[in-house]
Formats: sequence, structure tokens, C-alpha cells
Amino acid sequence: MKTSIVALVAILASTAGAQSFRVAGIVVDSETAAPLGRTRVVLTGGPVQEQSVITTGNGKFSFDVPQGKYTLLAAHRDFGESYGQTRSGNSDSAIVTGPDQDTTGIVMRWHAPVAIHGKVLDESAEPVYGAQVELFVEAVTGGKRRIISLGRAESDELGNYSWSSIPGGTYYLAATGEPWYFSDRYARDALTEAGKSIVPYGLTYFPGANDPRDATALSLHPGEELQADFTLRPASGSNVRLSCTNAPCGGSTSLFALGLGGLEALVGTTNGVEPDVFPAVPPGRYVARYTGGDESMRKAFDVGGGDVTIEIAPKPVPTLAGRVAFQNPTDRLRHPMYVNLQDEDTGQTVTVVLGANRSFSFPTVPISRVRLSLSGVDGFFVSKMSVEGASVTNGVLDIVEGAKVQVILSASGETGSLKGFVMDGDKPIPAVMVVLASAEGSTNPNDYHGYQTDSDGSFDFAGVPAGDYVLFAVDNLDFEYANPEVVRPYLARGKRVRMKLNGAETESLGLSRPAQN
Amino acid sequence: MANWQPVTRRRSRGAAILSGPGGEFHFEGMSDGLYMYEVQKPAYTLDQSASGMFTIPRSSGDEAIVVKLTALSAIEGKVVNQYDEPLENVVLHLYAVDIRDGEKTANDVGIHWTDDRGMFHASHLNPGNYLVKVVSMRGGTETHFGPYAMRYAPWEGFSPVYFGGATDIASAAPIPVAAGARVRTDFRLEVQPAFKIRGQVKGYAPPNAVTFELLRGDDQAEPSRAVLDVTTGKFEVLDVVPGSYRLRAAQENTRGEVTVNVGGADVDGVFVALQPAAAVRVVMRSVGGRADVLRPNSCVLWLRQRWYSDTVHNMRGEGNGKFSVDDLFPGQYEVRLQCFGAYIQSASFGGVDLLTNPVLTIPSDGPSPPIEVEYIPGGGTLKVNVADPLLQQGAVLVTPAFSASTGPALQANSRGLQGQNFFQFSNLAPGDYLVYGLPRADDAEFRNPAFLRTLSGGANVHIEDGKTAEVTIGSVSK
Repeated sequence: MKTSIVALVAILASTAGAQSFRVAGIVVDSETAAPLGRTRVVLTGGPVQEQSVITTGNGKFSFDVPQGKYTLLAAHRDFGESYGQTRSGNSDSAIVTGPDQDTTGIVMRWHAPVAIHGKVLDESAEPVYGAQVELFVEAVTGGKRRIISLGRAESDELGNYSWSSIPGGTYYLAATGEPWYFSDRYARDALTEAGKSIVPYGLTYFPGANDPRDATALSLHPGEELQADFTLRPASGSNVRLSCTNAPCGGSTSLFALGLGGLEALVGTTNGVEPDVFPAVPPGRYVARYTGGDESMRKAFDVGGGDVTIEIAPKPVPTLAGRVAFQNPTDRLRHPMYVNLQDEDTGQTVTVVLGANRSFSFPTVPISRVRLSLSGVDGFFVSKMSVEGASVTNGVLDIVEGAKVQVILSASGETGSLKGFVMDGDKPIPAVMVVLASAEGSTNPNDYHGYQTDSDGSFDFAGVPAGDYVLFAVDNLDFEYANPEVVRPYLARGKRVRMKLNGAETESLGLSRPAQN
Repeated sequence: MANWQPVTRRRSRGAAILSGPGGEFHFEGMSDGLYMYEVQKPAYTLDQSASGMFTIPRSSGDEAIVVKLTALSAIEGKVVNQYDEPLENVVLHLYAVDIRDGEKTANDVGIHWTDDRGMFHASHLNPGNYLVKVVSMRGGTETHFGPYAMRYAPWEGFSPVYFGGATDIASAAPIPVAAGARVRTDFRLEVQPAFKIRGQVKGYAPPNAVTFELLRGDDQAEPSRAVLDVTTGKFEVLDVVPGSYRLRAAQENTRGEVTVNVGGADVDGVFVALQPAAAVRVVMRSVGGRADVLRPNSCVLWLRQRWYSDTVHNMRGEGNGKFSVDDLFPGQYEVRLQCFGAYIQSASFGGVDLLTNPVLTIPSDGPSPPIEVEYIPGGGTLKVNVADPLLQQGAVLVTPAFSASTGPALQANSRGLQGQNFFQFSNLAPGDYLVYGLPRADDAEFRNPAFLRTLSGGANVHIEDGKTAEVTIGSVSK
């Protein structure tokens, strides 16, 4: 009912060409609630050209626009975010204008970025030059909670490093490095031989742990600045030796500790020329990765008491190639189609464009677990996958050393859409998470969909594969909707919906709570 | 001196030690022989004394080996706006400037960006002259698969500027940086409302990124912050303050440029077509020459963008005296030619005489004509005797006699004397020359006509093919 009225008004508005609606409000600092001046506020994405204003000291903004669905943005300092965002990177809520909508009292909370500064010193309080300080963030993205690495900052000759322009959130820090004279292999060997027990610095999680389980989660609120200093001490432990008996081994080998959230944290890299050794490796689970020329190798192993020797026996770098077959032979592509290869553990994605003969190729693939998907304007999804050269579990391909993987992806355009509103009685609830979950309890996260409601409480799932789903809404924007374990308790009280081919369903619902056992 | 810990080593047997707190080092138990040594310390550069040789056993008169290290320098500073607020994510480009091959040259020594306190820090710099330029905001092109993310909207921007206030590289004043110095270069930028340039790019290969740069004059630019929807080619360039620009879009070996004027509003509907780079053919011909001239002889040609040492394009041989210079885009390039055992008779590009005007303009429409070079094996020899002892540490410049209207010619030459009292130039084209004595070898900007016009007191000399002329320079030229 509501939808049809809205559609009618839209037609009237466009014919009259004069009816406009006000979008107005105030930009405030998320922590202090103080109004923010010198902020650019932008209204974009609707039926008219993007509009923007710069706020004065009172933080107020106002636009008059036709009926439509807009994205509202605020940029202050060098940091921008959109309405309904709690962190950069996660979803937002559109501003919907129309005769039934009050969009004149919007409070736009701008979250100031955070910064981390620190100094890396060695055991004699001398600055460590060239230390690698890796920053990890724990966050829910795409419905899954992950710890991902944001990269490494390097300390300068004074030992200083910094991370800035990052959003508030939960972070971990790890530092590693080596005495400067280690970069010269010759000096390193000579000094080691001199019996001075020169070893690299141990991988240290802030504030001073060597075991990732003892790493401290750093909760940084918007606008905070953290001073995080490290003291790196010579590591102690076993020697991990590299041996290379049957291959040229002209590449480099990196040693990683299996750290936070199963991530591989760099311990060190050698140029892979034997005999080579990673000295003083503390007990734990490690991964050695070799790359050189067109060859690679990955080996996971444990370090306990004694020395370990890793045989480097690389195989050709894995490749993955294939083609896309349309499930319905009459389907045609009107726009470019992309094939995405996502690392299941790190979430990193590599994209290639589908060739003219519907073939694609990833010429070098890391030894990893990956998931394939399709994207593009035309809205096709992978309905079936046939794989040669890799084992598949729950849609995840296990790429092993030397793998030459051939894939046929069946592309289906059999999708439907589902729209609706989350209501509390007559009142719409904006900025809550609506979940469309597989009714079969699928273990593939791609069978779960999330939508953050817009200012009018609306949600809109478009291009969802036809099938049976359960629909529910939760008041938690960090809800892990793509985690079947987290979703399961909500399924019993959710609304069962059948997404029909080319169907356009409409549902209205309230907020859900998990079923109690 | 607690951190005075160079690694010292002798290579023949492979020993290395850390020096003690007083900088002292001892090698013991060495067998007789000749040794090489080398010293390292981070943030210090090797002085001439920092590597060398010695023999064991040492003679009674031998003194201890003393090594001098020169501290490397740093440039650091803070970037604020007119309200004294720190500016974060501001990209700064550092260039070392010196005179190379007779021309002021900027050598890229790194890109830095400010943190949330507006601070940047560039270290491990050799002593010398530097330019520090604030260029753009950090970020480059964000690539998206759809229009949903075309939305980041910073509200303020600034124009690129060098430390000292210059806005182009030709008028920027170099900052002298002494050994071990930490030089402070603070910027106070006038930020102003920034706008977007929106449009569409054609001819790119998805899904890879396209780089967008705003060019002003001859200066090299850093990638601007931009977003690109690779499914449609629609782009937005951010942070643009009012002004007139050439907007360049580039991807691997393709590039497109368009002029954009930005006033007090966003600019829409800018269309950029990427075109592949072109190759220019080079035809080298040996014409005549005396029969007694030694063969083989040859010439080489290279092109580069004025000012920037990292933009050199070398020619590639295709056999039969045919060459090409690849990966050239429309625009201007400086031409350099050098011959071995021969001199240049003529060099032309279309109707342009490259000997009087060594600048190549690659047209943006249509194919380029070839570069045609004719050279003659042989040439004359000039022996320059130097009477002034000052000149023995200096240089001799030989330049064809020219009038102010034609400018300098390509064969200008300058060589350091390194303590000799004469210098010989060979394979000179026959004709009239001026010979100058210069007090220093490394700062003669002899490719710059303005510099040549400042010289006076040159000696005239006439060169004939196959003959040796001789001239004596009595004093440093003014």
C-alpha cells in the first residue's frame, strides 16, 4: 500500500517538477556532541545532481531536493563518512525523502579518526631503524568478524613509527625487526660466527607479548591518540634451517608465525640461498613460504624444543583458469562481468575481467583457501561450480602447491528481490540490520545477506538467488549475518520467505531476538 | 658516542666486528697479506676513508686506521593550514637538485606524507641541495565495481607549492642541506574550498586502476585522489581548487590528456580517451668522412623530460641503422645526441633543426615524423692548455660560436680537468669555437643559453677536419 502511494507521488512530483522536500540537520562530533563547522555535507545519489554545503560554526545543513533516495555524507579534516556509518568500511543508511518522511532533524555523527604513534627501541634503549610495526583491525565486514592486517609501518632512524587517519575500533599491534647490520648478509654471518650470539628481535605483540594469545586488544574511541612504544629483545628459541637439495632455490623464503585470528605474521625473510637459517625462533606454529621465479612453496610446521630443518622443494606457482557457462543458454551479457577470487582467511580479493570467449585466468594464485564469485551490472551469480585440480569444501577451493586448477562456473540470472520496512508499530526503525538467511542452514556465507535499513526503515534486497530464506531484523550493525553459527538462534522466530524467480516480494517486520532454549 | 658502532670487516677472510663505545676496533690473529676493509653505520655515508686496503704485517711507521663517516641529513617539518591546524595525508615530494650534463636536474629522492600531527620526516639524505614540494593528498585512485562509492567529498584543497613559496620547479629555490643537518621545512598552506572534476574515461582495460594527475606547467605531478567506477569508466577527481589544468589519465601504456578549467563549482562531463604510447623512428646515417678515419663509429640519441632525471627514453636498435624511441606520449622532450668517432652534420625532426633547437614535440594527432641524424666520421681535435693553476681543479667548456638568436648548439662539452694541465677534445665538427675556463666542473650549466651569455673572455679557435688545433687558457673566464 505504502509503496504504491510513494510511486504515485513520485510520478506527480516529476510531472509537476516543483515539489521538493527538505533534508536538514546538524553535524556533531560523535564523542563530544559539539557541532562541527568547516565540514562539507553532501547529498548525492538521488535523481538530481549532487549538492553540497560547508557548515558554519553551528554545524547546520539544509537541502531541498525532489523525492528520492540519497546518500548523506560529511567530511571534516581529511576524514569522511556517510549517514548511519559507525566505522568507515561498514554499511550506511540512505536518506529517503517524500511526503510521509520527516528528514528535517537529522543528526549526523562524525567519528574522528584515531592515530597511533610509537618508538621502537632495542634492549639497550637504542632506536631500532627499519622495524616493521604491523597493525591489525578486528571488525565485522560483509557479515563476518575478521582480524585483518592493515599493513606495516616502518620505523625511521629515530625509531619512530606512526599510523594515522584510521577509524576508531579494535586494534592489535605487532613489531619485529633485526639489528641493522643483519641486512648485510656477510656481516651477519661473520658476527654470528664470532660467537656473540647475535639473533634477530623476537616478534612482539603490544605491549610486550611474544605469544599472540597474550596480545592486548586496543580499543580506540574516535579522536583518541595512542602512544605505543616497543622494546624489542633478542629472540630465543630454535634454529629453523632451510635446506635445498633438488631445486635452484634462487628466490626468497619468509617465515610467518601463525598469530592473531590465524593470520600469518611476518617473522623474517631470507634471500633463500642455502644454507640459510632463521635463528632463535620461539616455540609455536609457523609457516614458511618460498617464492622464486615461477615456483612457490608453503609449509606449516611446529617449533618445539630442537632445531628444525625445512626442505625447500618448490613447485610451479598455482594457477586458476576457467570459463563461465550460462545456466540458461539464452542469457547474454550486456555489461562486463568480473570474476573475483577471495582469500577465505584474509578476505583479500583479486578481480579479473571475463574475456570475450567467457574465459578467465588468474596466472598466479597464492597457496591459500579461496572462494570464487561473479560480479557485474547484469547481476549473475555462481549457481554451480565444477572444479578440477583442487578440493572444494563448502564452496572453498583448497589451492595447494603446484596446483593447476580448472573451473567451470555456471552463471545464473535467476534472482528475485525483496523489499519492506522494519517497523515498531507505526514508527519506522532506521539503521538496524535486516538479515536474509539461507533456510537450509547453508554453511556458505554467500547464502546470507544483510541490509542496513534506511531513514524510513526500509530495506531492499535486489538480485538475490531464488530460493527459500528466513528474514529477521536485529538492532546490531555489527551483527555477523554471514556466520551460520551466529544466525542459527534467530531462524526459529524469523519470517520464512520464498524468493521467486524475478519475483518482487514485500514484507514488513519488527525486531527479532534470538530463540531461547 | 655510545651509538658509534660501525661494522668493520676484512673481506679476504670474512671477519666483521662491531666497534666499541669509543669507536675503536681491533682485528686479531691475522695472517700476512693484503686486506680490504669497509665500514658501515646506518644514517652515515661512506667517506673516502671508510673503505680501503692495508697490509699485514704493518710497518713500524703505520698509524692506526682512522675512518671518517659523514652523517646523512634529514629534512622534516610540519604542514598546517591558515588556521594553524595540522594537515594530515599531505603528500610531499623531495628532489635533490644538481647540475648534470650541463643542465639543472631534479632527482627524485622520495615521497613522504604527513601524519595526523601534520609532521613528515625524510632521512638518509646526502648533503646537497633539495627541493621540497607539497603536491597533493594521499590516496590515489580508488577503484570500484559500481557507482555506489563515488562519494567521498573532502571540502578543502590547496595548490602545490615548493618550500619558499615558488609554484614551479624553474623558480623554486633549492634548500642547502649540510652533512648531518636536520633541516626544518614547515608549510603553512592556504586551504580553500575544493571541487570535483567528473567525467568518463574511455579506452582503459578494466579492472585495473587508472591514474589521474593534474598538471600545471612543466612540473611533474603526483597522482590525485580520485574514484573510478570501472564498470562504466565514470570518474571523479577530488581536492581540486580553482585553476586551469591539464587532466591526465593514464593506465600502463596508455594515456589521455584534456584541459580543464575549474572555477567555483564542480566540473562535469569531462571526457578523456586513453591512447597507446607511440614510437618515434630514428634514422642514423653516416655521410662521407675521410678514408683514414677509424671505424666503427656511431651516435646515440636519448630523450628526456626537462628537469627530471628519471624520465629518460633511450633508443632501441632495429638493425640496418634504424632505431626507435618507444613509449612516447604527446608533449615535449629534450633531445640529446652523442657520437663516438664522428661528429653530427645534421639532426632534424620534421622541419625542426634539432641542432639549434633540441626539443622534440610529439603531436597529439597523427603519426610523428622520424628523427633523422646525419653524422660524419672523423672531425677535428682541440688541445686546450691550462696555465692558471686554479683551472686544474676546474673545467674547460668548448662551445660552438653562436649568436644570441640561435642559442647554444648540442656539441657543447665540458670536462673536469682533475689536476691535469691540458685537456683534449676530439671528433669536433669543423667550425669556429669559443673556449672557456671554468672554476668548477660540476656546476657549469652549459646547456642553458642564459648561462652561456654570462660568460666572457673566451678564446676563439677554428677547428678543421683531421687537424689538431691548440689553445691556451690563461685564467678563469668571467
